[in-house]
Amino acid sequence: MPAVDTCLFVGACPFRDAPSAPSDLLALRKAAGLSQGAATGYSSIFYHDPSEGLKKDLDNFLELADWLSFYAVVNPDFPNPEKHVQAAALERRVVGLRLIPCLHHVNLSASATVRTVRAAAEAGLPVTITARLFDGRIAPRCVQQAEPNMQHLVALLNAVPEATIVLSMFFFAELAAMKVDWDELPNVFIDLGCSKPTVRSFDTLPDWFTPERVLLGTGAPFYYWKGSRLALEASQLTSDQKQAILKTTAEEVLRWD
Amino acid sequence: MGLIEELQRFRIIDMHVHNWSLFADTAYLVECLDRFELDALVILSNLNGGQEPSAEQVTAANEATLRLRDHVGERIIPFAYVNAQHTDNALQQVAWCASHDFRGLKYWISQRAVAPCTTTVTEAALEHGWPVLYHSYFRPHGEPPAQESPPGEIAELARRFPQGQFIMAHMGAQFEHGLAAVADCPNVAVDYAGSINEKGAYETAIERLGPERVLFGTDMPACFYTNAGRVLELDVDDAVKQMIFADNLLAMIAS
Repeated sequence: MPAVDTCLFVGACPFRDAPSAPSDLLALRKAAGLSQGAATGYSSIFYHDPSEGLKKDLDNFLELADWLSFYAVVNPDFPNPEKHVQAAALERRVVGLRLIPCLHHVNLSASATVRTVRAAAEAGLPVTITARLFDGRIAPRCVQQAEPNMQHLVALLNAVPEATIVLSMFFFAELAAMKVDWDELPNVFIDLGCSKPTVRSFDTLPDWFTPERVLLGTGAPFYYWKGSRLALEASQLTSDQKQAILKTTAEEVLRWD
Repeated sequence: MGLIEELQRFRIIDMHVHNWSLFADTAYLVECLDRFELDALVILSNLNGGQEPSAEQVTAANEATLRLRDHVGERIIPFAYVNAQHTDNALQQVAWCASHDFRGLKYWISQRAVAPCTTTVTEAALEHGWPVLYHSYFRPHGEPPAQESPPGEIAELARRFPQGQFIMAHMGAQFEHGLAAVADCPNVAVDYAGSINEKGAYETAIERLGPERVLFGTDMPACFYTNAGRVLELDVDDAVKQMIFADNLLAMIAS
């Protein structure tokens, strides 16, 4: 079954050798049957100025441009975030914005964050909010990763109904416990590739969320990808729901060229 | 070949399962045992009593494990559970469980691996030829539970009993740290059970410990497929995957 992986981490991983050179990603594409991929580069994540990091990531993976697109990481606390959003919107290989509050330590309900998300909506870019890069129990000691503030998140979701928002790398338990009426937030999607499922998380997903608003970003090659795919494929969701999660919804939500 | 068909080519024994949470419901546990087409699973207790269970709570946990095995049959491989700080009870539980054909010992976070009481109880378990599975976490952030054992302590325990067989659970959570700690202890095998999904754990374990010291466990009711997919993803021969999925454990409990 062809798939779109909406959460790839590429470039030189600072923590260990992860197979994310262009040749590695081609092998991953073949093995995982990816028609498209959306990546975040480590330079985008860790550079002081994420836009400079994005340029480096785009250059390093130019040869994969026919299928591999990127998120522009934007730090709302960095000066002029709206300008970064506008610049990202002009780059045809950028499919969306990615906020990383866990590492940038920004308040999701602060005015700078709301302005950034509104700018993305005006530019036609979906915004992915990343709960974490690491399981908090084992983040490297040099990385002070903030746990997601769910109250601030809910405030942001309610403040920007005009924006398309994807929640990525949140845990099933966190999402299921959120005190929101998801039907009232049709602009919000969730990415469940790195979400710490239990044996029945995917089976019971329709009890609290519309499967057609779910994407699958595995976090490869920093994370294993086959387990997430297996969990979805072996679940009791319908074939149509699985197809939507694996491919169709991502194709509709992200801004492919 | 689809991923499900790829997985079905292997005989699988999940060697790290708890009969708690979703699996406190025996019917659901059995449903999953069948649905995942498992040959068997190792029950490591329902962790009754939390981090520092009383003697009575430990006894009740082992009785629950036995009831499950008696209800389901041989596809349940029971491990004894103890709190070594209640040493007399722990020794009684080892003897009682051995008399009911339990197949190994599980330590969680109620005693340090280097504590004298742990040495005493471990000695008793090894007399039955049991492997000793020990939860182990290296936590880079925050305060660990007071009696949780980091990987270095598992290595120290294993060196005290070179004739014993030990299993360090979760690869110590942060796998490079955990594997480095036990790499030169040939009597320590590892599992990567649980929800931590960083790629490289199994690969590094095979490289540094050898494939015969790597076991498959999931920490169910954590997601079975997420865990199984990690082994499927390995760039090794199917024979090595089969060793990890079941054969290494079978050799361990047979001996």
